[in-house]
Amino acid sequence: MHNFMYFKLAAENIKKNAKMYIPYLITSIITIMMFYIMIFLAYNPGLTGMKGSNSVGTILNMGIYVIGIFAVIFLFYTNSFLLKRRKKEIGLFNILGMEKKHIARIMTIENIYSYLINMISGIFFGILFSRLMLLLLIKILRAGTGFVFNISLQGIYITLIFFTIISVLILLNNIRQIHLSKPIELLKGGNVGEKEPKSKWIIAAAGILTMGTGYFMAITVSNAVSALNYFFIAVILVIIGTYCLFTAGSIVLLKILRRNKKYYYKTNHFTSVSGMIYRMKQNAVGLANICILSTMVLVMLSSTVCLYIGQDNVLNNRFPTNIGINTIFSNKEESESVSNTVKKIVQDSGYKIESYNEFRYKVYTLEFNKEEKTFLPSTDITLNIDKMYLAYFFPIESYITQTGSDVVLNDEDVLIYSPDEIDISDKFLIQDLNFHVKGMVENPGFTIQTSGSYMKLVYIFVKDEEIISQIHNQFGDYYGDYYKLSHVIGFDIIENEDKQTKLVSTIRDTLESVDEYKNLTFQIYSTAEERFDFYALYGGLFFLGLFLGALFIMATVLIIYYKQISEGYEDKQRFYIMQQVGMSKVEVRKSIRSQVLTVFFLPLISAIVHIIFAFKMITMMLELLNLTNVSLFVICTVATVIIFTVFYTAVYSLTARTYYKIVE
Amino acid sequence: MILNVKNLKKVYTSRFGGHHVQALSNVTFSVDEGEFIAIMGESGSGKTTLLNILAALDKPTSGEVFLDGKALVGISEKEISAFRRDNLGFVFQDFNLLDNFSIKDNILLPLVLAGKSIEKMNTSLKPVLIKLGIEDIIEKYPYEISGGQKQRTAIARAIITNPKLLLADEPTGALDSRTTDSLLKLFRKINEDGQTVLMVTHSIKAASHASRVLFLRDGTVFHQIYRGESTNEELYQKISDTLTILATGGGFNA
Repeated sequence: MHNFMYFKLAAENIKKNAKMYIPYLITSIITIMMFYIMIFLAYNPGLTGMKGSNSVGTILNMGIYVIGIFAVIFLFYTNSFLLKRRKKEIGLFNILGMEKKHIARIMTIENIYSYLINMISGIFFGILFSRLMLLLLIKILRAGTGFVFNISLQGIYITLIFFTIISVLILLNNIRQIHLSKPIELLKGGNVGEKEPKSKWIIAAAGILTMGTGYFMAITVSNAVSALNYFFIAVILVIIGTYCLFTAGSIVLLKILRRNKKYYYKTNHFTSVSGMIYRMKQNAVGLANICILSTMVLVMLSSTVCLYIGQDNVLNNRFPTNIGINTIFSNKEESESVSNTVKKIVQDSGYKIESYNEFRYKVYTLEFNKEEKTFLPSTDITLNIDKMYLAYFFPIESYITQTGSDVVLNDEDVLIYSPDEIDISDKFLIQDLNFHVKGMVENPGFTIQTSGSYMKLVYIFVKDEEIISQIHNQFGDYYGDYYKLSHVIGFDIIENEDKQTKLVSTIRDTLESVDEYKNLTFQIYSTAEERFDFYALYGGLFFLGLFLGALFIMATVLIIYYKQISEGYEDKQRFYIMQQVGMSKVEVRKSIRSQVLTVFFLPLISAIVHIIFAFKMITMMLELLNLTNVSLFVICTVATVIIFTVFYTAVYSLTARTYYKIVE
Repeated sequence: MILNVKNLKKVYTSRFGGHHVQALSNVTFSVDEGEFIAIMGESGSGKTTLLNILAALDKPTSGEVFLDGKALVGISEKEISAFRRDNLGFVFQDFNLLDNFSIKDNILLPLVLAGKSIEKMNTSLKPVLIKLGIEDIIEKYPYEISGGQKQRTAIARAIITNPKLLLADEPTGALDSRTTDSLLKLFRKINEDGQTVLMVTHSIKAASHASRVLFLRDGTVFHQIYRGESTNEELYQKISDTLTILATGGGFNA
């Protein structure tokens, strides 16, 4: 055979199988495009100059890996679909006298064609859309103009290498499959494995067990740290459960229905039950894939959107005032001196101090024993997170200054404030020291800046710093012997963020240059500066969520499309036989329609159930990221689910047309 | 008279109307109750078209078909499925069993579609299974049994409703010769039990089991042979001779 023939045949094959090939090409092109864009963004020189570039860089890099892994799995999956549909044609070539090496050669040429199309268009569209994505990222990050638009040679290079490797592996796999198979099997290709599945009781039971455990973990989780610890275990359990229940559970259930003769031998049930057994067997894995992808899209979009919308809320939680100066470990005189210096700097700059607060405190992680009403030192927070409190001790004067209260405390008296529940009302112990609760405080008048609110908080106001040092001393070596207190100054100035930033750097320079303070450690912040870190983190996550969401949605669409096509070919024959044995066209159509609807909406419904069970867990994890606005998350989740459902339905009805075209 | 076909004509028009193909030009014949008719003819003689019209799967361009006195052509689209279910049984060359049903369920399919009760299904099922000798395989699936068994299943499915007419389209076409023999005997037996059978075939052997053979050529009934007192072998010879004349272009008149 002339070489020219091979090229012609290969081109003909692609044209002939356009219905299968074009979606495959489009998917590959989009995957390559997104991979390139991700690299382009992650290694953009503008990123290094940006504030918060670290978190954005890390997030985008993570995106590259996710897309990479996804590309390998997904391209192999779609390719196997393509190959399965085409086995008949290949078998025919084989029988008509082509040797397997000839077929392999045609296959290779076909793959080279599609490789070239994919690579060239993928990188072309990548470069084309990278600018758009860059603008979107800048907008989301609210970053300046530090980013530069260029063609990323590095991106092209990595993309080329990575996808060339994937293409070669796919080609090798195809050739291997052709070599292993016999022509007669190839001829049957499209409809092998029509055996009805055995009831897989064990797998179904395992599915119920894993899914149940995963759900149970998700709804019984009681705090953020364990949510984080158990989240991945729960996710893996639910994924396993989903696969088991889709593949085996559905069939077991249908077989139970079939065993019920009264139910089964009714016109409607008869065809639908047996039809569903058949369909679930053919499609279970694909449907479980759709379900898991949909769940991922929903979780990712709802949480990143929520974080992004709620980031100002987070910022306010995290930083109670616009400007803050923390001195770690100082004595009373030093603190006074620091606050005077700061006040003077602000006044000299001509700004007015608003909502000023100042206090000294000592903080311990203590375990609270409810039965014995005793706080004991403990640092192992993972052990018993529910009993752990972040206990802040303040001299009562901080409270009096902030609120103007006239409360008087004796040595044993304390006031208690806790935003979390605490079962304490009268007497309690801190290790061996006795205390008496003089009152519970509704509002302490100031907020401590906390890095994450996963532990319960309690503020304990005692008579004076002497009491705090007594408490400290009895803990002994547990928290070190250094019992100086921390000192916090917080205030707002009503000026724009530039001026805030400038003021903060003046304060920073001054405090660090004064000789008297050289033994002190300061933490100085302004929300004006911190904001960018937040935008970088949450914006980066949001961008990644959108980006990957789009990728996964595309995958879902493609799987649905391929499923519709293969269902169509399978149903064609059945549709015909049913009519011959006396079912009307309308009846057949109705029956098939209801089955196909069930098959395609099962994954969506399962995904929504997953989301509902995961909700509590995700809420708790968002708390770790300082997002405490649960109702915002509810709204984001519901909105995402609704939009996704609409989109899913639209995709379904569009692809269903292809299905009906094949069947009729 | 159970089936009466009068002046049947069928013209296929290509999609854009330019091309006309006449599949049936003028077909007239009738079938009495209890007859076993074989219809023979070469490819393109109109056999399949005729069968599709008799099965109410296709409509003739002109002419009429009466089944037990009822005109097939006039039946509305709505009633046609029920009519087909109640009055006709089908057996096909490639069996057309549904892989997702067990043998038993394949046979029961028409009864389930007709909304019969489980008791009724069980009483109808038993004699049919015995008649066809497939009691042992009813829990199996179509892909687990042999071709002969598949065809027996298909026959069981066709006769379980006690149809007025059993239509068979090349029923032995996909079977080896030994299986073919036993299957044709089965058709005879069913026919002797009173079932009217109309079989389309181009196998002389299959046709030689019939009580009457019709020959189609160029869309008309060209000739017919009655079995009379002949044995299968004699009928086989007559059919063979007729086909030779047909092939060499001789002129009989029906």
